Amino acid sequence: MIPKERYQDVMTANQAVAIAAVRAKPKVIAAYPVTPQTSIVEHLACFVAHGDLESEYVRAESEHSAMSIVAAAQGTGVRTFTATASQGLAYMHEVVSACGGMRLPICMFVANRTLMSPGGIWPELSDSMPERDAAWIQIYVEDNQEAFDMILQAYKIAEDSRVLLPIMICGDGYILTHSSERVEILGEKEIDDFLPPYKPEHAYLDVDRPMAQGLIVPPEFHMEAKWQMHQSMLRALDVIQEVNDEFAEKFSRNYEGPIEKYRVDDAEKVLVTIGSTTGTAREVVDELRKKGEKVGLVKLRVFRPFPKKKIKEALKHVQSIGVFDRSISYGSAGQCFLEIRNAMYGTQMPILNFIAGLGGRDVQDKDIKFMFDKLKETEILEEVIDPVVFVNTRGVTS
Amino acid sequence: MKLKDLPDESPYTPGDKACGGCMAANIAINVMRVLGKKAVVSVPPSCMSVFAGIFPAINWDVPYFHMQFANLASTITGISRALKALGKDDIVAVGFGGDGGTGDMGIQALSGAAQRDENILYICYNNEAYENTGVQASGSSPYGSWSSTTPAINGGNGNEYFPKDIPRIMIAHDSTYVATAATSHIQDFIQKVEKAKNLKGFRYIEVLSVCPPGWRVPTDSGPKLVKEAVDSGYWLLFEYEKGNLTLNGEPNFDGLREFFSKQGRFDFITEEQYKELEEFYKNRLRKIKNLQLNNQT
Repeated sequence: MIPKERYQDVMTANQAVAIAAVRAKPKVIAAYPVTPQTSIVEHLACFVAHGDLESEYVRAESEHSAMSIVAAAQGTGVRTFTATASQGLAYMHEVVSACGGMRLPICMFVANRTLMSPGGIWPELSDSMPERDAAWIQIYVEDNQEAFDMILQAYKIAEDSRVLLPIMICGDGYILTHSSERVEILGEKEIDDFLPPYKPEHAYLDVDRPMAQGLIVPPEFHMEAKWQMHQSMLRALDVIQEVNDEFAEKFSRNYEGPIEKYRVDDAEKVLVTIGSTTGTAREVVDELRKKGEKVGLVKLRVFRPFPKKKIKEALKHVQSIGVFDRSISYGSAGQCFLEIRNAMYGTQMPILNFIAGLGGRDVQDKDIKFMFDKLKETEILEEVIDPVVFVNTRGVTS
Repeated sequence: MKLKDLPDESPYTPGDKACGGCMAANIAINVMRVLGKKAVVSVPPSCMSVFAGIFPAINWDVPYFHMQFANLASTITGISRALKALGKDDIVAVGFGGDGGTGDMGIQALSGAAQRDENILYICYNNEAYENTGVQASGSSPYGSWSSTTPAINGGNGNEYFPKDIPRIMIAHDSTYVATAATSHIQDFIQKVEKAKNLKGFRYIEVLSVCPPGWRVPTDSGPKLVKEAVDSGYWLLFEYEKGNLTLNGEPNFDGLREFFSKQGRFDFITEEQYKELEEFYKNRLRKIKNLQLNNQT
């Protein structure tokens, strides 16, 4: 049984996410095992069996069905949860892309893992990045505590009447999902106060008030629905900030909002990171600072909606920017890089894109130092011939 | 329930955009007359999602959820589980799927839901092809039939494959309730839908649905053609409940040749193909009867 009170324990992100889901009290969970997410649905099955959580737990026969079950249950008017990774996310893509337009505030955890081919079970963002256009809010976490906290914040953000969009919390496979660290589990009562039971106020299936969801919408009505989705996504930025602030006040953990700045205010060279690599980069920044180098770090937490204004505001004074991507849009560049460069449009700042950690290759402090070294070599925009730099890649970079 | 007791009004309301003579609309009207308003409906992309579910004019006076092609069974599973969680399990979660969405793309979700004995009612309106997209052969299309992807040109003689038997696949899952029905045998149809409505667990009813443009038949021929399909042994009426299979009526195959001859989609079949068809439908009756050997009582 999970203690009802606040407690601390050493656990993986998968365990933290499963306990967070229990605290959020979803009425329907549908799940299908896929590495490295599997232990989340294992934990949840046990929590339901032990009576920690009263929920309809459906062992779907595929991810496509898992997302269909969750979507339809959410549309019927209950809070839901599911988790997936990699091929599983790709397999459910068809349904994932329907949820945004149906305005279903579903919460899903994605254990980031490479999408074949080449095959692999190790971390990469090539599974969740293709979903960036699916009208889901995307938040990437750095550690297991943040994974726990953000699942709880996720429901509050998604269910807000200004938002009503599905949300995925993404965490690097293995690095988080299978590594244990100390996590503070918030108590049941205090979470109930922070996240009250779900009350559907939008469209839901009610025989006393028949309503249709997910209809075919012809061109003469179509664009307005899409415009509303975009507006809601933009409004979510404020809601994410509000929820962050309320969470920080109640539970004394402040993630700052869509981005988190580290030693940026007087920095000249700044690296933008996403996911668990932020922890390594923070160490390197401290080390280089000790040597007198004016370096800093921006942790990109929210990828959709993209916090364009906050990025520009945070980075407008620096000399050059490096962007770390654990995924790439082949023939173009890393997805984070494209967004950051878009946010910095109008400035003459050199921006480099460091592709690293693909397929789970370790991103070590030497790799982060390599990135800062490359930034030092690039003083002006004209020097950037090809901004995409593959880090620690045989035959390409040392 | 007798036909005369059935309410005139159906929660499937008039004014849809179905083709002239479409029997799928007829099926929806009559199923909903039996189910009434305590139902939540889902339809995947198919004829019915187009002719009755385009914003802003839809024909469902009950909550309606449109999802994707391959996931009708899991969609109504989600609805059913949520209704249970809300303490509203007196409401029927019902899906209407075409044969392609049911037996081809949707069979994975259907099989999963059947195996878990989800509390859902699945109606398959089998018009024996992807009629909505312009008559392409599906896994349920009859052997020898013309379709836009089984052309009868350059020596081709229509569909080279025999249809898969979805009800038998559902029986193999030991489902709570499996039945076939036909709108021509309306009393049998009503009783089956009513029985399914009142049962809990996975319930599957497959109804033959004449598609005049796809079958190349006049728009007023549907009701009569359905009756001939049943009488000639082309469409067998049976139900499977608590492990027992009951055949509803004994067909004779005398009218089979005439049944095929009335449909433009079989215009090109050879005598040899006809013989193969006759053999197939006779064999099918034998296979269904063989299932009765496992009956408990």
